[in-house]
Amino acid sequence: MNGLTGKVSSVEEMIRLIQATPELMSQVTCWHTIPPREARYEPFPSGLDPRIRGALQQKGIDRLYKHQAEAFTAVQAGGHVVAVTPTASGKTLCYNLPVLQQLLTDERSRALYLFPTKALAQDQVAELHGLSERMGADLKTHTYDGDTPPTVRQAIRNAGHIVVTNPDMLHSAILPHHTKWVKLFENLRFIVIDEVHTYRGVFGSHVANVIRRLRRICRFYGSSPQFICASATIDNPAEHTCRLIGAPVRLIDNNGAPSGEKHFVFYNPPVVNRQLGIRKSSVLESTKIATFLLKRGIQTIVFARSRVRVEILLTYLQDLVKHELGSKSIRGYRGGYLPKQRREIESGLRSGEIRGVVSTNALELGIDIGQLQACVLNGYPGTIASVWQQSGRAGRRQESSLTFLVASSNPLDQYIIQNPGYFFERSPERALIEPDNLIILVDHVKCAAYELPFEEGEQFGEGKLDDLLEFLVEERILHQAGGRWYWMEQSFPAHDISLRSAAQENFVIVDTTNGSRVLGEVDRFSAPTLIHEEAIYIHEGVQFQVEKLDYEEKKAYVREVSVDYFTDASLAVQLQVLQVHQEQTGGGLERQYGEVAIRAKPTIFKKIRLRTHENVGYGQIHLPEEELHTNGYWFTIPEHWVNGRSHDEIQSALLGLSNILVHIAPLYLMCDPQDVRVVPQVRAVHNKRPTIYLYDRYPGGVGLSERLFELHDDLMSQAHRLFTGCGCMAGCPACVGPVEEVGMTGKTLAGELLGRMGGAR
Amino acid sequence: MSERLARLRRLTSGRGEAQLGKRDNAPLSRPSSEPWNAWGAEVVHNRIGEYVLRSVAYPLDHRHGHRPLNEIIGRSRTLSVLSSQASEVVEGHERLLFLDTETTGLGVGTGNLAFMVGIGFFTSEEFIVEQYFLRSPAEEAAMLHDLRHRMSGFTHLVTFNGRSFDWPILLNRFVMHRMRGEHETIAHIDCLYPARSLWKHVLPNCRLGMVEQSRLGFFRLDDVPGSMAPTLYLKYLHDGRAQFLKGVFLHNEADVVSLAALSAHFSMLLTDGGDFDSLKMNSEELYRLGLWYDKVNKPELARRCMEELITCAWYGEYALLPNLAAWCKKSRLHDQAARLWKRHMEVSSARSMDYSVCIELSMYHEHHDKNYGEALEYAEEALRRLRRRAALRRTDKESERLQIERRINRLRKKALNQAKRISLLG
Repeated sequence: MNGLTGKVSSVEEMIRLIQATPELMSQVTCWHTIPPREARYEPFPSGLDPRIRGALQQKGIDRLYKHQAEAFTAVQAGGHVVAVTPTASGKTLCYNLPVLQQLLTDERSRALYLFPTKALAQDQVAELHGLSERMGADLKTHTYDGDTPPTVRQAIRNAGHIVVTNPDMLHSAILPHHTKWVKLFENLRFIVIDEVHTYRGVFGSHVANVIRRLRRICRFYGSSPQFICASATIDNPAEHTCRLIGAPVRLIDNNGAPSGEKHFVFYNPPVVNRQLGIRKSSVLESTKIATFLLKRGIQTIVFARSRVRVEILLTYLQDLVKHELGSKSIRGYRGGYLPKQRREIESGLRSGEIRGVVSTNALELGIDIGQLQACVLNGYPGTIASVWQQSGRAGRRQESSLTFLVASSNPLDQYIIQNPGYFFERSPERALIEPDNLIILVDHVKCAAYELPFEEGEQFGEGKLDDLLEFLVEERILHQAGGRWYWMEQSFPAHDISLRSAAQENFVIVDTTNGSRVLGEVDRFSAPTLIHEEAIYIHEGVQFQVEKLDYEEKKAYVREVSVDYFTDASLAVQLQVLQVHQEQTGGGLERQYGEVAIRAKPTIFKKIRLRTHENVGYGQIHLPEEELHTNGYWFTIPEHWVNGRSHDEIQSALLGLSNILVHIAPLYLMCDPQDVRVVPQVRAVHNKRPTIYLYDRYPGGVGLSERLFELHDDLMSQAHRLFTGCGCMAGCPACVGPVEEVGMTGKTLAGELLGRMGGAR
Repeated sequence: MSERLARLRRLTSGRGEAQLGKRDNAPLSRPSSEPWNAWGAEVVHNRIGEYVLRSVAYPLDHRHGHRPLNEIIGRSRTLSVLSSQASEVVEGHERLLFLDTETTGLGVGTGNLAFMVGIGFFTSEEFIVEQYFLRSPAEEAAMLHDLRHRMSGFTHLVTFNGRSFDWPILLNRFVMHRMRGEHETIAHIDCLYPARSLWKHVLPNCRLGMVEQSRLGFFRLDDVPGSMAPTLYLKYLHDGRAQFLKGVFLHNEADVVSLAALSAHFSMLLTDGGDFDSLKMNSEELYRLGLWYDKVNKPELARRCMEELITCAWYGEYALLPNLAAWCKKSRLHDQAARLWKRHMEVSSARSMDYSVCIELSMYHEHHDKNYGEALEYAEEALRRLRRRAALRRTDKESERLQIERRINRLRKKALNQAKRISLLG
């Protein structure tokens, strides 16, 4: 260590320093070391165009990693490919090399790139521009999304070699107007889909259908493009990609990128009140660790689970290190920052000018920020895959890297931190989709018919469509004539079908401190709790107070303030049964399926003092409630089981059973755990009895809970099997939930309940 | 699958069953007595398939409202200025193809179908309207095949809002049937644009129906509005009963003839402007016509309009004076512009707070007349008027005031120098 500056010379030195600091080490529950991995290289493939070779050499690349070379060869051989590599392993070359090769060989060729977000699309275009400039080739690469000015759209449609867009745009703007894209579709050679792991659950099922439509249009124009996909590490990349694109794929997962030694440190904040078992705030502890790293010159990324947390952490960090580093060297990064600001932060991180960044999972995806040295996770992000992706942000080639997982007091975090084996021994989560979900399928068959009439015997995905087409004829949406089914309605179907559950419209935040300028944006669902009137909205560590929220116009007017508190809004969520469509009673159990309304209304906000986190005041929030009408399925616990048990016992049994259902329901439905919600109520509003609800987290529902209603018995016996098969003593996240959540008797009680409900058969 | 569909039917909130009942009553085959022949239409067969074609002929001296169609004869070349491709000259009225479609929906997506394409063209003896109609979407390929052949030989399409609606939809349809060719490059005259230039400020709206009534004197009786066409067609596809479509045929036919009459009207305006009096235009319309002449590069005609208007403005229609003055200034008729501004000052209230006129006159005297003393007087009047305005507004627009004050200072110097020079000479 440099005695004058206090800076360390390497991560290794940092590690030794931490290990010699008892204050930190006493809270470490696990220190896991992953050995370094040597790079495995391959020479440039012999067929690689000399211009590409030259451009790469100018960038200092004179050979490829094994997986990059393998991907190139596999694509050259024909067939679809999915490359799975960890964060920052040169994944983009896996698809850019074969695409550029093709475009240089035949300049009429076209490629379509799909990214889940606009930010990623812009990144990609910048990179491709750089490459084609170095090659001296005139390759036109453009983003085509909601931000593309109408004046350049036509040029992109006709002349863009690589069109970079997102699934939503493909769904609502490109496919329904395919006649304007003749050049693209006739000459489409490659479809690149990056971040395929994000296309899961209901969203993924929609996207799979959009891809079916895309392939159908390609067939019409006589092209059969090859898919090149890339995914973060998940349990089933090949299977998932295959379902997504509807064709077999070759898996490239032979990662040849080097990595230094990885140190995984599980850190549990110290107990501050032994009687109540209260631990020190994970935010303050994460701040402490990050400061420790930053002050010693280690470039660090901090991940937090919410936007407010990001800004609070940012405020603390900027404050603590401002004398040493200057506040501009620590930045925040999250959804809601404007694109220009994001670009600036990304390049600052790459150049090293920015020493620390606090981010939400927005930086989990492949945005290029170079490699940092250490990573601090404020709380367990919820999935094993996310932890790996976030920690992958740290780790330069030849250097060791350090990841701290700082547990919050929530039961899941506490379980993980105390049982590290659970994390290190399990494989990451599976990505599940169900493209043939009937409601989703019908939506896209409509869109597809709008784009091109269906032919007799035509397939769309797995099954035959005859029944479905007949149904749409009966509904007077399609018209059958001469062996074809024609769209015959006045509407534009893609407008009524959103691929994502959350509406895309955002609230704009206008800073009125000096004149007025747009500061950032907030999505509609976060708006009531983040930018209600009087809320303190923190942006890049600067505090603003919301003076007026124009709910109709979706604008919040804020003014810069300097106060020593932040605000935290409470949301009251109510579940109400609107209508029962089907019911079944048997064995004392009452099961129902029907329409439910979930109402969320922000009620009050608390003012919480910075640093001490004490409550210093509150206020009312006056905003309309957000309502979600959807389908739900619920069952009521038999009376005879309830009798004689305390409220707490019933609660932990219900909670335990709900947690099991959260695990197994997605497997039956091939959806994401986020798509179905489980809500246990000890005293339900509609019948005053203990009830467990499962509902579709999509407006109008997508048939998930109805399927569960039908599968009830299977579901219960599967739940029972999972319950008895789990080796834990009193509960873990893989079965009824961590013991911290369900209590010591939770597992036993849930087991009894399952037995009673016929699950033991 | 069928079990899942049964569920889906339940999900569509009971609508499914009602539809099922109805379906049994729906006729399975088309009624044999189709009314095509009675309407002057017939089923056409070609090597791809069949469709229905209706033709109507009008004598050349037919009056559509009060506009005779034959007025276009000999004047059609003037329409070239309205074309999307200005270099493509209209060689004769027989080269114009009037076109209007009826579609199954709004928007220009690939699912929107033109079930009826009405075209009109002049022959040496008559004006012919032809309507290509699809008894089912399956007949589209056959229809487009013939339509494409029919289009060859015509150099210009004439439509109303066709550049952003009818024509892109037809282009889509051709692409959908993989029919490419020279039809794609035809020049286009969209009458909506000149109609907007002329009548946006004069008529309540610029829809074809409004233009017909008010400018062609053509009134439709028992017209089926165009917006009803999709509903009627979908109903026909469902029950096969064609009689409700008669109104759609007649509506489309009238649209096509209106296009020809409107073109005749424009060609007449572009040739000699006719006799403005006979057009019974009010001054606002005449002013818009003048501006339009400028826009389509007919300065002589523009000048005639404006001169006519200047007479009106001088003797009573004072409100026109500033606009006309501005036009004169733009056309470099500076003396005329100054006269009009002065007239405007004369006839408007002495307590007027409109200082822009004073600035204009000050600029005129400074730059054209070189009479700095007079320029200074007008600038000072402008400042007085601005102050009066500021007092009422209770705020001071500093930048405007400063601008005028700078002007005054500059003019004072120039006026002083001028006075010195004159005294030296004297």
